Formats: sequence, C-alpha cells, structure tokens
Amino acid sequence: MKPIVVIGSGHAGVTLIREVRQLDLKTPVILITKDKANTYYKPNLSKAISMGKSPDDLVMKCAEQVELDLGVQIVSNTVVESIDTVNGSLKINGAEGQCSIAYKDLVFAVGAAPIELPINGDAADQVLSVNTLDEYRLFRSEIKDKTNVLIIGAGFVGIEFASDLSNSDYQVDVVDMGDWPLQRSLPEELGSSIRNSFKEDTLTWHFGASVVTVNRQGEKLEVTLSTGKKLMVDVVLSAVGIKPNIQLAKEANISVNRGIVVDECLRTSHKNIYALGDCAELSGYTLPFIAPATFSAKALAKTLLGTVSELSIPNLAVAVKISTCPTVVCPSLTQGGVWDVDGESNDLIARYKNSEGQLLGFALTGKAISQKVSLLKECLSPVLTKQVELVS
Amino acid sequence: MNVVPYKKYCCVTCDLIYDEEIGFPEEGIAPGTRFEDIPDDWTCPECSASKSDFFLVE
Repeated sequence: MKPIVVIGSGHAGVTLIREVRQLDLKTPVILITKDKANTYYKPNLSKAISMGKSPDDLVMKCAEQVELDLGVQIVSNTVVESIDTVNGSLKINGAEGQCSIAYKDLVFAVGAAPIELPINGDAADQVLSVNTLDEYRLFRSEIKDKTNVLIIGAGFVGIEFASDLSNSDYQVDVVDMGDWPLQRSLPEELGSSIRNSFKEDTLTWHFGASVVTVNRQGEKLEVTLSTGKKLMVDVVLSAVGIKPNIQLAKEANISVNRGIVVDECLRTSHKNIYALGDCAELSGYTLPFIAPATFSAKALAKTLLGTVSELSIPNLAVAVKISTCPTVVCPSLTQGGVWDVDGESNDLIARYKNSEGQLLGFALTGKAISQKVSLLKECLSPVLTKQVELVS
Repeated sequence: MNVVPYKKYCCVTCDLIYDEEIGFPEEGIAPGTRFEDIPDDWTCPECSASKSDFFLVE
C-alpha cells in the first residue's frame, strides 16, 4: 500500500498524523522533515523564560517516541527536492542520500518563515528571528549574560517576547511602525493599557519607527532607527510576522498565492495533494495560529481516509501572554467594522461591530478577559465562503 | 467517607494541565468539576485540542 506522505513536523503535521491514527491504524504514514522531529509547542518559545524552561525543557516528545506513539515512519533532517505530481512521487535528500518515495496522498504542512526586513549595516546579518526550537536555542545562547535586547515588531510574538524578557531582568527596546502594541488586532485604548502596563525602567517603546541600520560597535550592536535615534544593544530580535513557505509547491506547479491555495476540504489544485496550517491559504485568508491548524487536521484526517470533510472553524480567541496586562483577542476576518470600547482602567472590552451592530470580533484586557466565553457565543460565525478557483 | 481525590489531565498538544480541583473558572468550568463532567465538545482553552486529547497525569 502506498503511504500518506506528510511534509513538516510542526503542530499541523503531527496533529494530522495523530488524527489519522485515531481513525485508522493500517495506512502507512511517512513524515518527512528538515527538522529533528522532536515535538514542542511553538507558542511557548515566546514565554519559556517566565516558565523557567530551557530550550531542551520545551521538547515534549523526541522523534523516536513520536514514531512509536503514532505508528509513523519519520525521515528527519531531510529536504524534499522535487515533486512529480503526475506519477505521485517525490525526491528527497537527507542523511541517507537521495531517494524517491511514491505517495498515495501528499500533505504540505511546511509552515511559514519569518519575514526578513531590508536592514543595512555591517551587522544586519546578526538580526535574529525565532520560528523554530533551533532558532530559539540560538537566541537563548546569544542573550545569555547580556542585558539589552531590541525587538522589532509589537505584534503577538514581539509583545510576548517583550513581556518574557522584561520580566527576566533584561532591558528591552521595542520598535514598531505603528502607534501602539497589537495595532492590527485592537483599538488604541487597549493598546495604551498594554503599553502603560510595562514598567518604564525595563522597557522603552519606539513607535512610528523602523530599524534602518545595525552596525557592530565592539561587543555591542548600534541600531539606527528611521527617526534618527541610535541605540546600543546586545541582541536584535525581529518579530514582524511570517510568510507561508510556498516555494516547493510552486516548483511543482501547484497553485499558490500568498500561501498554498486550498479549497474548503484543504485540497490543493492537484489531485491527492493537500495543505494545512501556516502554509495554507483558504478563500484568500492564511490561517495562522494553533487552533485553525488543529481543526484543519481533524477535517483532513477524515478526508484522507475516504470521508471527504469540509473545514469548519468556530470563532476562536487567542490569549496573548503579557504578564502585566493579560490580553485576549478574537480577530475578525471581516474588515470595515467599528470598535466600541467599554470598561474601566485596564479592564477593557473592545467589540468590533459591523454597521448592523453585529459582533465580528473582540479584544479584552485585564480582568475583562473573563468575558471571553460569553463574547465568543455572541460573535457571528466566521465567513469563509468565497469560492476558490481551482486549477485541475 | 471515601472521597475520590482530584485528578489532573494534560493536553497532548500544548502541555496545559486541567486540575479538577482548580477547574477553569474563566472558561466557565467551576472548581471541583470532574474531567468526565466537562462537555465532550469542550476544547483546550490554550490550543483548541479536543477533550479526548487530554491524558491522565499519573
């Protein structure tokens, strides 16, 4: 029997295999990954110091354990070089050299990569980003015995790193083009609450600014901002978002846009080839975060085993781990709404409503995060109905 | 009188612990709620894994 081949050992790939195994023990499954295939929970990378965990502590299961538990053959430290969509096979290159694997179904769970900003200077290549455990290991070794960390980006990941580091005796600078933290996800009132909750002596904000150059100055890095301001720091961390990994799919002539284009059953433009998680794009939306990948894995497992199932994602709220100001965001997929803010001091409720007054999304700070469950019930169901043109 | 001790369950995806003694008050699950009494359609508040994706912590 030809196997189901999954590319990528992140949350999407591993959860898919676990869901497949809940339904079927017989179909062979091969997991190909450029990584080591040890499992870890990626959102913990931006809060591990506060959790008292080292990079090694974050590993939940080693690859051998995953193989045993899920009845899957893992081919680690291996890249997929090309895909022959006509004959249903792929060429891989790893520790054991090149070989070819035939597949029954192929699943892209290849994730996304950090967006790299155009930065000048002789130390521009020293700017770090963290999207894998290995990158996090490097980051932790770079900040060891150091004091000053500059973070580019005040979005979900940047703000969590800012919280984690400023709680742990680091001096943090946060640089962001916008006017307040999480600007794309919540209104100014809540942004101000978050901003003011950080202690001034541990964190300095630089809004309306970007990083222009990073130069080596002895042991330190000299960072020049677009405002002309110069800062001397030890480490620069870029957290300005991710872009789906589409190159391999593109080379195989699979339809791609920002992500790998899939329909509501997570099928790509090619028969027996699917995509889920951070690399996939459905109805013009990429679906980042853990939860959509979990729901996608459940639906796709059924489809792979013969019961074609549409993805259905309920309204979801994301907790942003800011120790001084707990924050929950339920992002709206629909634009054109208006924020309506309620509450006192730092305990704020922001409702994002359309012209009919229906709730499209929300954001909560402080004690108001206890309203999450009731507001999720009030929200309109997410609309992902725009039909995707599939090339067959 | 025999009192069944409170148990803890761990999410397979994100390592979150459900402690029956503490519950998840912010999720509408009162302290003391037994794991089996949580609705089957409940999902992990951290990562949305299914209730069935929690395992008993020994």
